[in-house]
Amino acid sequence: MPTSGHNGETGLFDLADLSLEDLSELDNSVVAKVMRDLVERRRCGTESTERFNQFNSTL
Amino acid sequence: MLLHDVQAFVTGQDQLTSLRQLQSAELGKHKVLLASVVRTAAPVVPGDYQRVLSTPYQLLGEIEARAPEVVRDLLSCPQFGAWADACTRRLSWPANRSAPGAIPLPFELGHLSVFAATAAIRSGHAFELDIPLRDGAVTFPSLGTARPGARTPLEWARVSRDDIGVRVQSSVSTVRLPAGGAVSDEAVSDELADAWYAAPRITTGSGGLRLDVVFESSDPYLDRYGIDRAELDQESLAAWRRMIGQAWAILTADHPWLARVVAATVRTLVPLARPGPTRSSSSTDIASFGAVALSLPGDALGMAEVLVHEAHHAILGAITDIMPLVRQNTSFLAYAPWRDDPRPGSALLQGIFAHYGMGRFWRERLGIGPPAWRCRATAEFARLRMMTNRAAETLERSGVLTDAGLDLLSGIRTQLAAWLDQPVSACATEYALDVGTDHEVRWRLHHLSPDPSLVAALARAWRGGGPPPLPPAKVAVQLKPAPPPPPSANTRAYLLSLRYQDPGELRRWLTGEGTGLPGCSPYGGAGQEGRADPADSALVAGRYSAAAAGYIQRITAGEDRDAWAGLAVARRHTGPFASARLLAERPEVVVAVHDHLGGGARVDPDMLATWLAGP
Repeated sequence: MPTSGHNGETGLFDLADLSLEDLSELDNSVVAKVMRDLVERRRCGTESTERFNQFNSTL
Repeated sequence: MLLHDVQAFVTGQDQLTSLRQLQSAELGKHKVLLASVVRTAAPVVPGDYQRVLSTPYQLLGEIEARAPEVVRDLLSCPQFGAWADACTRRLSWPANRSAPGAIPLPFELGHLSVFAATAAIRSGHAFELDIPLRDGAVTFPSLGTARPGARTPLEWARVSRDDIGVRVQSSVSTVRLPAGGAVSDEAVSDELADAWYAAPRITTGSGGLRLDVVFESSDPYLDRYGIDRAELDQESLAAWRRMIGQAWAILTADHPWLARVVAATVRTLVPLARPGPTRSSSSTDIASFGAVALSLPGDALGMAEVLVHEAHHAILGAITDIMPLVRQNTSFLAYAPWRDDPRPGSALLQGIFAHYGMGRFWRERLGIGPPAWRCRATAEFARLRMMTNRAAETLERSGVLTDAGLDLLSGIRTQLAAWLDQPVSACATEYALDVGTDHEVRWRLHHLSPDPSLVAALARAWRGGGPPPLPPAKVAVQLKPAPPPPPSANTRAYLLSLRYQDPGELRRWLTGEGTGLPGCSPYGGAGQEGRADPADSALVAGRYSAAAAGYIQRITAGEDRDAWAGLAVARRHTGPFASARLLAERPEVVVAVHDHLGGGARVDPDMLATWLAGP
């Protein structure tokens, strides 16, 4: 599998090119690691109080 | 993607390779979310697993083998990101799996079959699948909404494709989709009109650049913006088409680089209801990259600005998925010149990035178009460079940014420094300062609480006839976030912005004819007069002494925080300048001392501000 260049770990760029069949065979530890990174970066998948909605009014 | 690419984007030197990388990363995110959902759900919904996840996943895999571009496109769509995000949130926390008011988890997870069915329809793949109906309807992303009806609010329907075509069969009826999935919204027969609503699509080309967007007003996963979505009838759809076409012509003619940014970022528009007759809203949720929710702006320039603004939000959201920009778990909250509530670091950075994009748009518009457009561009540019720089200074000092976040902000600040050196008309600068002062004073009075013991000491000194024992700048203040005031509470901000956005509408307001909606404030607030407050009218007409007198009258009549903000703006123009500066920079101290002394007519606001400002 190609890597993202960050310490040789699988990153989001690598996953984009995976087929669904390959995705289903991905090791659990790889999925868990990428999910952890995502959560850390944006608390994705957690009960965050910040919904990341950015409202903009004309004012 | 490296920081180098982000910096190239900030300086406008990027050839959009970084945007293609971001699109790829977002697809990767959607896939890992899908992988996580599929694995986590297996033990949670064992009895439903086959139907809700396994079968549609298998169908998507089969289609991918024949038409990989269709599945890639579908897994990239904003609804998919939003669905995967919603499922992840529910599966990650046991309490969320059966939260009150939430739809049963199998129906949530089973929405994967809607994506699989959509891929099958688009690729011409024969299939048969169970899909969840909500209120008797199902929306196929970018195709349309079928409404076969149902006996219960949530129900499984059977969707299939055979030699004749696609049909959706519920407990009530069967809907046959028009041939090809009816991507067009124009050739729908009468009998289909109620049962099938094709998602309107706008494809517009200009200057060799093409914008291709679809309207989604029914998808349950694009109803996450806190504002009601707008149903588009033929008349309103025509208005949207017209304005988007005009906005795209502006972008491609005068801002080709920004046009490419928008085209590469925005694929779905979620029409929102207007929150008021003269107010529009827009929003981006970074779980659904590619979707922009917005109400119809006032004109084509406004539409172009909104598209640029929201594209920047989406881009920074995607960058955040790749590299952490803000440290987590900080309690940092600060003033954002575009918001009525205190903002955390991540939101402040989002706002800075998006307003920087808007500043770039208006900077490119300097000197373009008829005089009214030029005046508007100059004032918007002056306002945006000021507010963006103000927020960037705050965030840089905050200590909440990571090294990557600091590098990104540094690139923006370098550009802002050049913008701030750019001469603009004195009138534009004054407009920007008025709007900025009004907003910040209102914010400070709403959320900042000065040290009560120091306020009491100042009040004692006033009563004793001596000088202030300490300068107001030395009074410690505490941030106590309060619920943001409703937009209807500030008519003045709207009127101030009309001075450069629409002087004709301002004249109509000053004569009581604004918006053509008698009895409504500019925001549609109930029970408010159709005319502006006399002090506000005087202010926006440039009669500053009269405005100040009006605000003082309101202050002495009783507690009126809004009048203090108006007074701060008026005194910028009339002086005395020491007290004007104090009213603009530390209004919470002046008002707290005034209140401590009994408020109302007991103490003259001007005399108090002058005394506090010192010699």
